[in-house]
Amino acid sequence: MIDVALRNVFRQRVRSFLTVLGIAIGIGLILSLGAIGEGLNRQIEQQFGDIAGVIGVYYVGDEDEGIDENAIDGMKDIEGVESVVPVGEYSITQRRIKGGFMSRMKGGGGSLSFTGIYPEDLKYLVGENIIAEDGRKIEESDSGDYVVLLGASLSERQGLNIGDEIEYERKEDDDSTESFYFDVVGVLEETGDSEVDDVAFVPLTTMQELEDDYSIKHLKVKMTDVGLVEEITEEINDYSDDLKAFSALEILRSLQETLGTLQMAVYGIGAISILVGGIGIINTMFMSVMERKREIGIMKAIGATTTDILVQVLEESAFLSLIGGAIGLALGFGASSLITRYTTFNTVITPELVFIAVIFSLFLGVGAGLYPAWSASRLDPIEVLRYE
Amino acid sequence: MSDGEIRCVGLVKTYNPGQPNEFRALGGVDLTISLGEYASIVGPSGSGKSTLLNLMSCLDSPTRGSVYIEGVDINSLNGIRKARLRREKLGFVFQQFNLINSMTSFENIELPMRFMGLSRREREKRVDDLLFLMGLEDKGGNRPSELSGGQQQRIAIARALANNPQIILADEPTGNLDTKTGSSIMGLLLRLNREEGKTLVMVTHDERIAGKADREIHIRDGLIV
Repeated sequence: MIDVALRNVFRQRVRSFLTVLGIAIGIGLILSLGAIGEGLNRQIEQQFGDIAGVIGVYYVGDEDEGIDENAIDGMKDIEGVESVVPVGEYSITQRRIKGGFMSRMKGGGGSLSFTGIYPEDLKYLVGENIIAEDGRKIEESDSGDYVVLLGASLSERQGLNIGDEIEYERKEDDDSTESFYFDVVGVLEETGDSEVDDVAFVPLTTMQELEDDYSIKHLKVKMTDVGLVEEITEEINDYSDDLKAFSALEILRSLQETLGTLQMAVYGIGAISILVGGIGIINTMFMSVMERKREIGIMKAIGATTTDILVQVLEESAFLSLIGGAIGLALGFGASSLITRYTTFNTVITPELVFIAVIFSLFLGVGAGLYPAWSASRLDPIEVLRYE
Repeated sequence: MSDGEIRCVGLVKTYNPGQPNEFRALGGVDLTISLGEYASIVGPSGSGKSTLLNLMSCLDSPTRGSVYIEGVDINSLNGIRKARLRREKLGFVFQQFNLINSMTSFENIELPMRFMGLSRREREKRVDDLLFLMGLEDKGGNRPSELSGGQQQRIAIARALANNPQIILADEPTGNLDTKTGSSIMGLLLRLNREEGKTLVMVTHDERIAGKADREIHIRDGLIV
């Protein structure tokens, strides 16, 4: 009887079209808003994904001695810790390249600083497979030398290449400065991780000698498993009051939580919109049933069962809803691609979103059709044929 | 019990029982209609003729008493089995034709077969045969509103015969037709009774039509007289 159901839907074209439109807008809304949410989620995951498995440990004690060796060794022994890398951050107040002067914000980049590391730890921060696209990486033999290895983005943004020099100014006790020039020996290939691409790596030993400060104030603790990050962060914080461990995973979680709440609100708005569409279906189907009372009575008189009538009306409402769902999908896809093209949001329509939209529209159609279908199936043919 | 037999035992139908507007339409009817018989039910308006026909067709339930079709008490059947009985054993012809206006003649005739679950091929063949039998083979694609009263009633009779039922129940089938067309429809129904052996129960006001029946059942104030 599907053909009969389809024909009944098209009997009142304008009414059916408006009903379908209500559903389509609801589904389109839920799809495009969901796509924005999913896009944001992916963006955040991408940005934080690479650093989520790294715990930053900072020395917050009063003394200048920094993190002691025993604490570092203790952290290395924690199960799940892959590496503990001492890091020193040294800001550069001005940079000169071969006598030229660079603006701090040239190319839209932020402040520039040297990240001092022991060259043997480079593999933990950058990864074994990342190569120096130009020149070479820094090596153990570079300890004490004035050499710098640049991340790809930093190199591009600042226009720095192999053979260039970066000036580091050491502040003296009398507020005068002394300049030291670091040779750019290599530029790393792009990794997509801002913790590598935007960094200038120098040998930590060089910086410690230069500043005459051998204390370690900052560690990067890398995990074998991201799932252990929170537990180990807590363990390190409990180890000493002078240490403050902090993970990007916390920010990621907090952002995802906020985004999740936002997404729920968005889905709520979509759901209300679809609910309104569902009420539209109930109204349409109910009117349709009322207009066709006589027809339904005749069908029952000549042998249609209650189920036959119920199914036919449900087919009609499911059909309305599915057409609405299909148009809604098209609207959702269209709106999402427009949003991606003309705004800064990256939208992502996942198969799950499409599945939800289709299932939602089907359930809506059947659900909204239930009461009108039940009313139709309960019609008494004698009464209907006598009075209609 | 033989095929096609209808038996009413102590049939009482009271509308609005216990209410101030209580009305007894049938006051205890005992009646047996045999296989292949043409019985006409005659009586004035409000005498209970249509009520009796509605009870025989299990569209309505009696207040008391029973209707047996082929030996089965139809009141003991659930809704689905009643519907199955209506589409398999009984064919209805109404005074108002009761065709579905949004459907073509072809679709109206095939409707009971759809409820039966017959295949499209079976339905098409049967509808073509019935249209030919009714002399309306060129009207299959027309909607009821495009047909004359007589043609509509022929389509309604074809629909009643769709599932080849043994019993045809007709409620004033010529009531809305002119004399000539009415005679033609009566001829068709009589032919079904005489040539194909269908049991025909017809409610009518028309004494002339009733006179052609094997048996006239006169009903007055809800009782057979």
